[in-house]
Amino acid sequence: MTQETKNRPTVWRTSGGDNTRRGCYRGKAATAAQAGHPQSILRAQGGVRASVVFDARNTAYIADMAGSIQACGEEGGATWVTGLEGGIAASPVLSPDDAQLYAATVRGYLYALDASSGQTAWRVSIPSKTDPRILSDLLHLPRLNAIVLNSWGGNFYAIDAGNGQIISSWSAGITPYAAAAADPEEHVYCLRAVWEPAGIQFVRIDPVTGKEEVMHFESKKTRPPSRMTVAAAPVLDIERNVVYFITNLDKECLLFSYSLQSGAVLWNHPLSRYVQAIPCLRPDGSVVIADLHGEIQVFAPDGSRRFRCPTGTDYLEAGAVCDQSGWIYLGDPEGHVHALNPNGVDRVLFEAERAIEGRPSFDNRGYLFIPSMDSNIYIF
Amino acid sequence: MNNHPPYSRILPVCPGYGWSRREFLKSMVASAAMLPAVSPVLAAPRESPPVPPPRALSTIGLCKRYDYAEVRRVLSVMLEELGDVCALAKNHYVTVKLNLVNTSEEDLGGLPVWLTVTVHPHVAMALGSLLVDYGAKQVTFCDQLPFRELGAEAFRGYGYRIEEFSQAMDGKVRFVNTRNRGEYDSYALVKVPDGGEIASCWEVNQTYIKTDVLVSLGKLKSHVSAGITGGMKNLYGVPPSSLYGDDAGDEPNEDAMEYRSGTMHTCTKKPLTSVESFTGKTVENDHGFNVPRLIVDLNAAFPIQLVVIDGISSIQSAEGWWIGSLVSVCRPGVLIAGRNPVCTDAVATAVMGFDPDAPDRHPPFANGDNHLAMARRKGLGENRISALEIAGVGLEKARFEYVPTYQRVNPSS
Repeated sequence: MTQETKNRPTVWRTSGGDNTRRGCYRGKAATAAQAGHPQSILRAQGGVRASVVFDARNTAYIADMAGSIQACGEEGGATWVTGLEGGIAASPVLSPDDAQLYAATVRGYLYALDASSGQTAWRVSIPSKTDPRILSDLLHLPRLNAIVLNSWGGNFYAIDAGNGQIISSWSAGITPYAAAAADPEEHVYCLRAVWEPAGIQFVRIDPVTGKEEVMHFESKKTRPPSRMTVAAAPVLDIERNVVYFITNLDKECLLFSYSLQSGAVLWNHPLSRYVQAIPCLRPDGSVVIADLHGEIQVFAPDGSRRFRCPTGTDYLEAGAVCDQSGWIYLGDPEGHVHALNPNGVDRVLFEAERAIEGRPSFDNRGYLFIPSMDSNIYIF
Repeated sequence: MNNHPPYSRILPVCPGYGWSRREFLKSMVASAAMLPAVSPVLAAPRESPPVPPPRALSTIGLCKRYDYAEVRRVLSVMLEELGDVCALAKNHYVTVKLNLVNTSEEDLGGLPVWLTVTVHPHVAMALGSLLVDYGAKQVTFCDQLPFRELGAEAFRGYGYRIEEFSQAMDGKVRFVNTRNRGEYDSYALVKVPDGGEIASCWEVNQTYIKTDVLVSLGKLKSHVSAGITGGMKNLYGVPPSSLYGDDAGDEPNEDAMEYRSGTMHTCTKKPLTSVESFTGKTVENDHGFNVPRLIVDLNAAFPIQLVVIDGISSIQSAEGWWIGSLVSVCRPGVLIAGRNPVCTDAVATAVMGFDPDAPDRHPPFANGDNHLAMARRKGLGENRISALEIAGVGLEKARFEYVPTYQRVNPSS
């Protein structure tokens, strides 16, 4: 990768920016992101938990809990709105050529939509004997041309993005909630809780065959592995060949740094409360954790703690993102939009009317899009 | 020891109250001859009774955090909007049924129960303080809790501090753990009007009877068997473990304090009441059949005069941590109140993004019958949102879509 390519902002076609889920914008956030008020506001049909995703022309795709998905151009107006069956909690994903948009609902349907018109190309329901809901952010594998997701039916699926056929599937364990991540070779990484032996597995999957490799197993100690044990997707630091993942077990949870080179855990760090939010990575490789204690914690690549910052709220549900200069942005359940400078000094930029339960995202210009349950998308 | 305070009117507010065991049995003999073999409510097609169901105003307030002063301010405005709460409370003894759960020692991802599963103490204290301001003689907070203590100590683990409540309410407060008959020498036998769907009567701690006003203070949650919780489902905590609990054994057991799964969920066990109290019209192990009907039977027997629902911080997809990873915390930031529990719960359902008149076994009532519609057919209140009047910030501004409760088994699979 050349320096020029490395520094070019990527198009955030999926939550967290790309398949690594790292949530780091390769550019500087637009000035308005630190100015204290939204530059503009987009309106959805319902509360928004999913991250906004974008195409190369900066069209913003907004999915909401009322089951609507809409495309908004740079000028702000909706170019189309399509209603799906079931609310949308999982962040949608766009194909690399910006032709198709994929969205999944709490009723267990995966839709492929024509991104220019919102017309449904195909729809499939996820097989399940119980509840097929899809809550995990979608992933698109360009080489395989597959969508990866999991549902409460208990499995992950790699689904052909062209026709909705299942390519492969593998167990999502007993807590099918956390999304998957992938490396450039399209190995898929996921976490799953298992009963026998009880604990959490960190797994690498070949999505073509569904063949899996358990890379780490963390056993439970005192509590059964049934309580939000796996909530956040793994996050990959490709440059350092490291994966970060979180296990919520017992009374505390653990943040792991895992070397893909050596196939071993580099370090782990106990956190005082469970974590539900996907971590983000700063350009220096430090990992940012938003926990259910309402704190932001940042750890250097060697495992040392850079800082911890209480946000003043009871808990944090949604993950953070950061920009090239190391600023961290996130929303909290009381509607506050936080901006933390590289040293961890927190400033509340804005207060939305209702909770912020979704991860922010950046468009190609560096504007920050914050989804809120008040049906607004606040743009900074 | 009956050291409860003198009540302004001992005459029951419950339509079925006032029955001794002898009177009850006598009435059952008399009414049995008049009853058809199958309850008309169960057998009848789903149509509304000719008389429109009662309706009452509900109101919604936005409140993002559990700051006591802010909660009290928002709730005060809401109760003013309802118009007649002051008269309801003035010179009366008020009983507030809290929505607590069967342990205070658990957490959800490290979060305390009052941020997720149970009514936050500041909401209860704000309500109690306002009721005292309106002239209530005393406010009794109660629920059946799995602790030996029968007074305020039992509530401490849920964040309820008697000294703080006492200060906020000029000392006019008490807490009662209603898991058994408590300070009373007998239970209250309360008949379900019209015979009930499943329960013909309830036998409960007299705290629920010896009061002028019954308030239900619930939590805005999903519920696997009932679809949603709220004011009506909250009454599920009224029947005591001593008679209905899984650990009661074969005889009434004043030490029992466990869950009531066998009697009130799977319906595989009869309650240990002094008279035959269940009709037998249950479906064993079908929570989705039994739970909605028992909710309606409880609400028919114990009319709620005020409902307040804590929807500031809660969980979605299910009702408690025992559902494991299927629940997640959410922050609706709302308080909901009303005078009719069916109407208020219907508004709460709509706030959660659902149709309160949805068909049985469809979201949000994914695993069972719609108890709100059942209550309307029973004449307890209106559940159709288009027929309801909503004050405060209104429904559109308050809406906060929940992930619906999960479907246990797909019937078509």
